[in-house]
Amino acid sequence: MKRIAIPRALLYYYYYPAWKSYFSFLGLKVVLSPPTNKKIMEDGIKLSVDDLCLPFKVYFGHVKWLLNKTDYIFIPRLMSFGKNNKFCPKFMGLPDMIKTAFPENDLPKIISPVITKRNSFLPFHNYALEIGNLLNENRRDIEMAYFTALKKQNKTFKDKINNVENKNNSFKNKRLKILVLGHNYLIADDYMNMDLLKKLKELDVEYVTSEMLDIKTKEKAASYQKKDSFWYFNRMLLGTAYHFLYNKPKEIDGIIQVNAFGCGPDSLIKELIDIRVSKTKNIALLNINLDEHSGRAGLNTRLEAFIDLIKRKTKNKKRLNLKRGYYEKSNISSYGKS
Amino acid sequence: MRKVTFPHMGNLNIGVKAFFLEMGLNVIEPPQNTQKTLDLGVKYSPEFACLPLKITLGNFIEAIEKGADTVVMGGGVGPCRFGYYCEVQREVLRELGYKMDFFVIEPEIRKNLHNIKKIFGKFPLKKIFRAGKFAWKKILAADHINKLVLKARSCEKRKGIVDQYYEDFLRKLDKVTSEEKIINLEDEYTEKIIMSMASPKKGITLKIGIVGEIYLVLEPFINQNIAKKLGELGVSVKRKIYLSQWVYEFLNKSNEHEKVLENAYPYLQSPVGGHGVDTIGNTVRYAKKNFDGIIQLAPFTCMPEIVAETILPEVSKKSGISVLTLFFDEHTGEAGLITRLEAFVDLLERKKRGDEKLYV
Repeated sequence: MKRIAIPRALLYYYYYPAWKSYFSFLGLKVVLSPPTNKKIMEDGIKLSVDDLCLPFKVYFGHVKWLLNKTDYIFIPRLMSFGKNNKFCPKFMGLPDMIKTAFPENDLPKIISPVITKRNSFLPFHNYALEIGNLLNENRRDIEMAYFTALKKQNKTFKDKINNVENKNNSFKNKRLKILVLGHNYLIADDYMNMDLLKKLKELDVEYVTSEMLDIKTKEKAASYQKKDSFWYFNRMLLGTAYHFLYNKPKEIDGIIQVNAFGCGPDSLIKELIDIRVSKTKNIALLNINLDEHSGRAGLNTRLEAFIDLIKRKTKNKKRLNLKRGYYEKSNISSYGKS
Repeated sequence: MRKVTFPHMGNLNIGVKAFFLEMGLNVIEPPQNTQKTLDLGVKYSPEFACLPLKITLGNFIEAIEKGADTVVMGGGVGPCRFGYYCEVQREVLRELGYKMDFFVIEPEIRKNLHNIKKIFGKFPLKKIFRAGKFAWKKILAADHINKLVLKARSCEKRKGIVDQYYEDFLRKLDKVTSEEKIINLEDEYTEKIIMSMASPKKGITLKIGIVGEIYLVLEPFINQNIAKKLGELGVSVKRKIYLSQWVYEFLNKSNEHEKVLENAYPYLQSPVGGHGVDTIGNTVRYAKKNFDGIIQLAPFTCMPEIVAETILPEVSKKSGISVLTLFFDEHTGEAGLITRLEAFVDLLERKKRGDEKLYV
């Protein structure tokens, strides 16, 4: 049985269900790297240049772990999702960057389909035929595999949204709700973000992420900005933020922005959100910048302080509103910027 | 009447100023880039934004304080961050309380039409064409002389004379009012500069190619006038990125891009936005032409150039050309840069002489 490696980083956190279904359908065994750990991160940092952002450095580490374990490795080249839906340039050059980091003989054959349309996150034609030919030489099987995978992917996206709606119904308790804004590959990787989400759960706080909203809502909210952001992932994030800030400002108590140090698109989008949030009164904002030197203790303290602050603020708000009613005048939003 | 302003980028101001003056508008040119501009920009920009955003924001603030009420900025469709500068800068300027109209020129001409109407009041196509042609002539002249200067600095008869001519030329070019005079001026200074060049020295003249992000390559204040520093070290500098070249590519009038892609293909198989693929492609082209070294210039956190930076060692290994990567931010100091340049030039010289002790 031929084996194909998929690094557990970056796009894995978006499209893995589809990839797994697709390759299994074609009779390939999928080999995943383990969740990010210290060794993987250190390997990645050693293999890449300083200026690269953390998630990409970690990607290098995952590829290193997978060397000599498989016949193929799957590294898609993400160009765009159609017109005006682009991505960070690093996604475009990813296969080339990986090639330069390792000696030529070490790397298995790289399968790197060029993604240019929204539903083409699979190696549909050329590459699939290439791998497919080795196994069952049947064009129809490949197309079948593609459509099953697509279905599977859409189902996982929907599941994530539905889960939250159920949660929302039961959400009449007094728990705080925080919007965690960040690329999926950052907030879903527990080692990289130092258990941010787990910590939030520990603090008894409910959280929402961008993935839990459907695309149409996000697109609509993102268009409040005069010029649409041309980075797809960042437009989704901007849309999530604007949706909560303008359509449902009472639903959340605070926003935590998680960025990787040196992330290009985030550096601009973050500023736009900062400006917007500083104009609102009831929403607090915490910016977290992750790099390889981030310490766990510092992050925990900041999170706890942030949650405490919101709790106190909501308490004060009730008291002030009842007793003196000058809450509207006081500028509590000055806490907003971290 | 509108008072228009625009950002600085190398000799861009000469062309843009000519265009707006020709169109009959008031132009408030932002003061030349200085430390003050940079400080202003850094103070109000997002922390991790790239350097061009910061300095152009500084330009706008200085120009608005001088009285400008209309800002014209370039746009884009990504994936380079430049295309989104306009949004952030507009919001930051609003946040600071400045009142101005902010117009963005998009690569899609269709999107610009209503902006043009707003700026000029009507739609004077003929006038725009004439003014554009005039401005274009100025940009071309400036680029031609710049190209010559890069080469001439390495073998000038009297130290500093070429730069003196270059400054004179730019100052005069800014004031010229007819196309004929541009040509005369260009001819005059071409001759002057050529006359000031001595015959090549007997020793070794190194050839270094400059590649990288366009703003860093074009703007002497930000790149600490690296071309001049190299010239003083006796190096003949070449580069492919010029303002006119950029406009040609913007309008799809040049086959440069295909050449670059073709040369870069073994190392980088797709464009990565900005000038990332140009950096790789031009390095390969310079290596084929037996250049001695390459210097890559980029602002800190520039995404396309980071991709290029990752790949350049491979190019260097396979084609044997030495590469120096310099990332600039607002903290870059001059002394450190000079030391690195001198060391690099020294290394190249020894390599060229075949100094075997170096490799023992």
